[in-house]
Amino acid sequence: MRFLNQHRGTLVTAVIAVAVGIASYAVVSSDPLAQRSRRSFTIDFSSVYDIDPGLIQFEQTGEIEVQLDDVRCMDVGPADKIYVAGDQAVRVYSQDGTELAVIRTEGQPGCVAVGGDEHVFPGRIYVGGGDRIEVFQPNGSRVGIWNVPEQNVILASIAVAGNDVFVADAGNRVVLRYDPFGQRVGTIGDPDNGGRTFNVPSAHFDIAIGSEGRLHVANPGALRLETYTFDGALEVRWGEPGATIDRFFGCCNPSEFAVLPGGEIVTSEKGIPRIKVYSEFGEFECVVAGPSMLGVAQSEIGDPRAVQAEAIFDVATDSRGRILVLDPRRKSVRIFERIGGDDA
Amino acid sequence: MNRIFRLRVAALLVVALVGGVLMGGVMADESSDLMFPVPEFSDHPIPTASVPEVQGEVAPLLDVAILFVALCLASYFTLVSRSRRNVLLLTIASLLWFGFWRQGCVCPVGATQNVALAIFDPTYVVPLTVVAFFVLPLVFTLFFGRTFCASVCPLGAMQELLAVRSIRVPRWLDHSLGLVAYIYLGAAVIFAATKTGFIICRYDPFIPFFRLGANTDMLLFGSSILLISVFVGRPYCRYLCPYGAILRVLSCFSKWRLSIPPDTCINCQLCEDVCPYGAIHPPTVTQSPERRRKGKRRLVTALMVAPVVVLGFWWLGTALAVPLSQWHPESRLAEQVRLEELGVAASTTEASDAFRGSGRSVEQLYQSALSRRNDFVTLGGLLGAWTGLVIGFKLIHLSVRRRRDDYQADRAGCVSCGRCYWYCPVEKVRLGLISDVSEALPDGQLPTGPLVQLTVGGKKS
Repeated sequence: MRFLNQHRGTLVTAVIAVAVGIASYAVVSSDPLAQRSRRSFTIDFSSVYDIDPGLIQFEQTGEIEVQLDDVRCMDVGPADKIYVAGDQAVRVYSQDGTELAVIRTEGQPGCVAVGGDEHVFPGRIYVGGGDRIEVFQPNGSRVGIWNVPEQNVILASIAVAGNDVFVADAGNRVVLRYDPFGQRVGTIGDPDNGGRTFNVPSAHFDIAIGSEGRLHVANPGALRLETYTFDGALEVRWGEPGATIDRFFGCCNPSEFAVLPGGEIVTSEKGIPRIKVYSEFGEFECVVAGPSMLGVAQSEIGDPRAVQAEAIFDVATDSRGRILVLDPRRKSVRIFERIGGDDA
Repeated sequence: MNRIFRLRVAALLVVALVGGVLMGGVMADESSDLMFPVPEFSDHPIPTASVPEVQGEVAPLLDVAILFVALCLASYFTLVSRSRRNVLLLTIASLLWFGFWRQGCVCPVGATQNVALAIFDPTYVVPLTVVAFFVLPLVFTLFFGRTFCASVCPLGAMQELLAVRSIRVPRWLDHSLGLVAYIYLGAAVIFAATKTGFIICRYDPFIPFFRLGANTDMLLFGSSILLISVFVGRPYCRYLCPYGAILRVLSCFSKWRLSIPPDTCINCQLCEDVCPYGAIHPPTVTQSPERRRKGKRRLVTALMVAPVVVLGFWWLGTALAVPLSQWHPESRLAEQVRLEELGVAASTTEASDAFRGSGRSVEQLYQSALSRRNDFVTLGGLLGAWTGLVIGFKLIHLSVRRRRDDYQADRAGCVSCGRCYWYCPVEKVRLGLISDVSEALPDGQLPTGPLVQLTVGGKKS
């Protein structure tokens, strides 16, 4: 005690000096240049980054460069023409990548769909963006604009059946059903009318026409795909949350999907960008492409920042069972075919 | 009893700090193996969708209203009712509300950067709440002195409550360290203006405690500042706080300010002894003609040296353009990409990975980085000139002798905490706690010097 009293000043000074030293060290080592610290805690995505090669049954066989700065969405129409929307235009390409037409739109496209041969107006082009749908003839002449009068509308996807046009509104989490002339004939997912509620945390809310007059709807927040009749009756739902290859990862997936001619469903996930094929009833079948094949670095996986916005890959299918992947980074359509498909 | 308690608190802090350091070291060593596994979410029940409530205008207005009321109360308690107890209660309340409840944001200290960015970038819209938080304490300081620092600022409050074993910092060190806050202010303004970053917020040592979480480094930094606060009164306020630097200047021009005794100063020196911030100056003695001549020579020298110092630091600032620009994310990215292009980089970074996928060309990135580097030549020069100006002004300020007949609070340095009230014998007489000032003085001590009549705002006669 006497020692403490005698050397109190020295001890206090020493304590202050040590504290100043630690404070200085802490400031310096706290990564003042804000580079990623080697000591930072991160999720280890290495186990999901590399896909088991045995599961990959597709290979890239072609690529079509797209003349758009901001590629947003894609669909395949009659004669397997490829329609890519972005900027303020829809560009039409043939299977060999030749640009066939450029259709100017008034708004920024968010989704595009083309009526197939079964549609009452084959080849008609529907371009959604914001709260309206621009409709074009196959030759690019404008038919009209359908406005969606509700508040907070974010049109995220369009699916065209024989006599119906379905439009997914991510803002209000409903699927709107129109007749080919733009008259609203129904709504799926409207809780006020006893419908099921879709869980849509982001602006990715995809729909597609399935076989036998069914409508597939992604319920991304629930990490599921659901199948409805055109009248809105739920028939099938499947999908499990998880990081393993057969499940859907993160907050909200699948972000995009398409239906193969045989009814199988091709899903595209964000967070862990990967494209997979499931049977119509949800059995996992194979992988089309994993993160590395899509050009996404391991450090980008799970990154919720703006960089992720360019790591969401729209998918479409053509009549030959090929899978088309819209790559917003390479600004191209990458064509995948089943390995050994021609031999089979 | 009180002393033993304080010693125990101090000892506890030391133990906590050492424990924290050891824990931090262990965590730092092991963190590379402690990566989180990929979450499976398999058992996670998916909640039904809900739209979060949009925060209305009420909460920000409530914050501004509370700040205004707190400033009014602080000014009243400091200058009118002269109640150290109420000041202390308000300090605790402010710490709880602005610190732990509002988690230190929005605060006037950090708002400095928002305002700076809004001035330099017309496209940046600064919220009115932030402007109010920045302006209100400045206005109150112009009228009442640093009453914001006294008991409203949660950063100051935390240090105020820990200032239990304060030692006197040597004057030369106090003056020297005091310059750091002005340099920090200058750096914070140019970094905010160039969108390099809000360094005041990034290096706020108290946020880890207010938010009950931070990385190990910032916890260490905050713990160290708190430990130092036990022995050095308000180290952050005095030597680092950029907003405090502005308030120090404004406080010199305040219309009213704290006066130590309510009536007549008896020059007992108790206030100077108890002030943990070294902000009370003793009466001056009459100078000999020789010392007066020496003082004048010193002033002339300081006046002549000041422009040279400004120019010298301006040059130094321009020379530091490269390291300064490296704080900007764009410049860092360009350097990383350059290293990767040369094959020197050990690995890529998140930023460089993102850049590779962005479609921007490397040339565009280099051009942008070079442009920023040129900007920092000008800005570095301005920061250097500002630093030189602060140093030059300090030299001149120290060379000017001021006459004091009694103990006076330093206009810039006094944070209006009111501790001196508690010990002032004249105040005790006013409150009726003692009948004569001699009862409050240590045994055998008598008041020295002339008795001077004082009132709020300064000397009466």
